[in-house]
Amino acid sequence: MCEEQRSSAVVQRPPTVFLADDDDLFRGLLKEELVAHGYAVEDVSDGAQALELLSMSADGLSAAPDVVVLDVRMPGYSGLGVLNVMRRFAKRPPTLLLTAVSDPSIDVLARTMGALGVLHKPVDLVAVLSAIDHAALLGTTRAIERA
Amino acid sequence: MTHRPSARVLIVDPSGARPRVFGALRDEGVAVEVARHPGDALELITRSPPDVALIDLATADTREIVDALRSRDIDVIALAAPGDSAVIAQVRGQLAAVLVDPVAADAVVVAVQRSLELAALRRDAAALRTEVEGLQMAERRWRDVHREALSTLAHDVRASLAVVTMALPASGCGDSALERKLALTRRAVERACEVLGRALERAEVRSVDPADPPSVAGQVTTAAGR
Repeated sequence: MCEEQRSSAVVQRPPTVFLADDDDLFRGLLKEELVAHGYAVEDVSDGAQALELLSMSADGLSAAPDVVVLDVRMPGYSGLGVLNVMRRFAKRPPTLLLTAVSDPSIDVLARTMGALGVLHKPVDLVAVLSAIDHAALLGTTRAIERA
Repeated sequence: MTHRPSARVLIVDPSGARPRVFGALRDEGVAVEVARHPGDALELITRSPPDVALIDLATADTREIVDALRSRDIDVIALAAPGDSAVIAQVRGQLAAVLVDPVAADAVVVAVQRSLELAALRRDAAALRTEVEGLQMAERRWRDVHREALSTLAHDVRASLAVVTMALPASGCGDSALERKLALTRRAVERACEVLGRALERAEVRSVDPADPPSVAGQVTTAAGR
C-alpha cells in the first residue's frame, strides 16, 4: 500500500498492526520496518496477552487494529488458538499467521478459521510487507463497504 | 516331574476313593488340596486358584466348577467312570484330559505334569507379552520425545533464519558486489532449509504425522475451551 492510498483511506490515522510473536529479534525487526513504512504497531510476546488485548478491542474497550499478525508457536496460546477465539468476535480484523513450523495442516486450519494467509519463516521482508499491505487494504475496503 | 516348587493341584473328589493316586502326586512334590464338596471347591478356586485341577465327574455342579476353573485359564483333568459319557460330553471342550477308571497313578502324574508345563509356558508367554508391550511403549515414548526435539530444533533454526532474511535489504540497490553477497546469503538460507528438511525426512520425522495430527489440533482445542 502506498502513502497516497493510505491517506485516502476511510480511517484518517496510520493503519495499525497488532503483532504477536515471542521471537524478540524477529518481532523487533518487523515492528521497526512496519513503522518505517507508515504503520502504527502494537506488539506482544505471547498468546495470552494477544488474546486479552484483542478481546478488549473486540469488546470496544480499545481501538481495533487494522491488521493482526500472529505467530503460530507462542507461549500461553498459539496463534491458531487466538485465531480460533477471534472467530467469535463480531468484527474481526484481517489476520495473518507467521510460522516457523513446517506443517501444511497449519495453512488449512488457519484458512478454515478465517485467516487471510500464512507466512512461513524464513520469509523475506518484501513478502511480509506485501501481505500486510494487502490485509490493510482489505480492511479498508470492508470499512468503506460497511460505511 | 519338572515344575515350579510351589505348583498346586486342586482335587475335587467327593468319594475320596483314590488316595493312592493322589499320594503319587504328593510324592512328586506337588502341593495337593482336596475338596470334597462343590462349595469348598469353588471357594478354593476363588480364594487361591490352583495351577491345575482334577475333578471327579461324579461331583455335583461339575459344570459350574469347570467353568470357574477355565475362566481363570486353569487346566482341568477329568476323572470319569466308564458310564460318564453324558457328563463328559457337556464339558469335553473345556478339559485338558479325561482319565477313565481304573485310573493309574502314573497316568495322573503324567497328565498333571503336562498341564503344569503348559501353565508354565502360558505364564512365560504372558510375561514376555507384558515385557514386549513395555518395550513398545518405551519405544513410542522415545520416538515422541525424539520427534518433538527435532521438530523444536527445526522450528528454532527456521525462526533464526527468518531474522536473517528479514534483515536483508531488497535487491536492486545498484551495487553489484553487494547484490552478489545478498544473493549468496539468500542461497545459503535456502540451502540450510533444504538440509534441515532432508535431515527431518531421514529421521522419518514430520512436524505432524498424517495419521496422528496432535500439536495443532491440540492447541486449537486448548484455546477453544477457554
